[in-house]
Amino acid sequence: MSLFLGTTLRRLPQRPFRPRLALAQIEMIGAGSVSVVMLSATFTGLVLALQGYSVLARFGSENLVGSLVTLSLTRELAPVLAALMVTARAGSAMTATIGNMAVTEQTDALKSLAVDPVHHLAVPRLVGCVVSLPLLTAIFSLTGVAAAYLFGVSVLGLDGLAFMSNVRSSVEWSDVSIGLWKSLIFGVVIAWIATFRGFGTTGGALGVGRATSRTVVETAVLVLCGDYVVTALLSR
Amino acid sequence: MFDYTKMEIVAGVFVVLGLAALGYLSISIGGLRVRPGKTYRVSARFSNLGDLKARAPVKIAGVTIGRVESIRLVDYYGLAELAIRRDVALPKDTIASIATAGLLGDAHVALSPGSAEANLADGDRISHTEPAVNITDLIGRTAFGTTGAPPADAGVKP
Repeated sequence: MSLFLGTTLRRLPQRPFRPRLALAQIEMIGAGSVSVVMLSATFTGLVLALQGYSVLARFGSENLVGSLVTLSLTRELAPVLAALMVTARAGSAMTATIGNMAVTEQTDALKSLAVDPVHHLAVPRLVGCVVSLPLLTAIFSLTGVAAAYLFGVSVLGLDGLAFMSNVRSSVEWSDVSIGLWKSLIFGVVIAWIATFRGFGTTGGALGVGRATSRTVVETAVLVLCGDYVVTALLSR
Repeated sequence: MFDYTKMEIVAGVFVVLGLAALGYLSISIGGLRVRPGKTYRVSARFSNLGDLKARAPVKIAGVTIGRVESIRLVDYYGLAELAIRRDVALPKDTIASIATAGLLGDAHVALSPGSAEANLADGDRISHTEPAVNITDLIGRTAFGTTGAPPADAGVKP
């Protein structure tokens, strides 16, 4: 499995570059996920604001809601939830596409045309994932904070200026960068598992379904475990 | 020349949008400084830093002219590194004190410029500092008069 990741990475700098294929993947993985990411971010922000408010109000520190929401989003929730959304939406599709090609021997046809299937299919998907995920994570964070801000100001009656100044003073670059590192790592993980399971598909239509569900389960578990590992390593 | 496909345009719009979100998050909320070097650093040693935190503002007459870069302990004194805007010159005998916005607000460093001819250069240390005022201590002193005579109108009025 790690051999496969190594092969993909070795093929990465090989010519010919196929920017159009990578661009198509960015469009599929990134642009296609924007709506679902924004929707889930909105509700995550709302829940965080509501939950944070009900806890913090007991201590009379309602104004810390902004810091709570922003810190939990940028550090933990945005990279993880964006990665899970991309896994469900794009990771499964990647495995299904490549798996179907493998089952119907289209990958062998590529080989006989002297086109390396890993270079042609896996590399653009890896590039697409690694480019898209940090951007999606940033969109997730901002949408969540914006939702929490609007909700806090209009429903909970918080002061908007105090909310934003609290956000600005409590969030540091290290909080943002840790989230971005995570999203880069998750991008590699998603592309890696999805393409690996795709190429390894056997057993016809049934096999494609099995490979797709394995991709989603394995990626989700790896993202959640990896989140813990990265947090533990980087937050020293 | 402009025969981009719909896919390319959508991908481009996504990347631009994502980079804008990333930039706003990093610079405005995360406080990343894109162009460093427009500030110079001076340090100040306080016997008590109070609630001062890194990234707190540094102010002269209420105007923010820099911020606290880092805080560390040196010889049991709190050493604060301050990044000051280059266009603000500070005389050598500037006094640094720790003030709070309002009674219980966030702490910041307040500078009172002196009248010396020479100015502080990059890496210099402000030699005159006043520690943070401990509000709890102050209330205790005023209420119970443990040290000195409290002002006539001090204390809690009904």
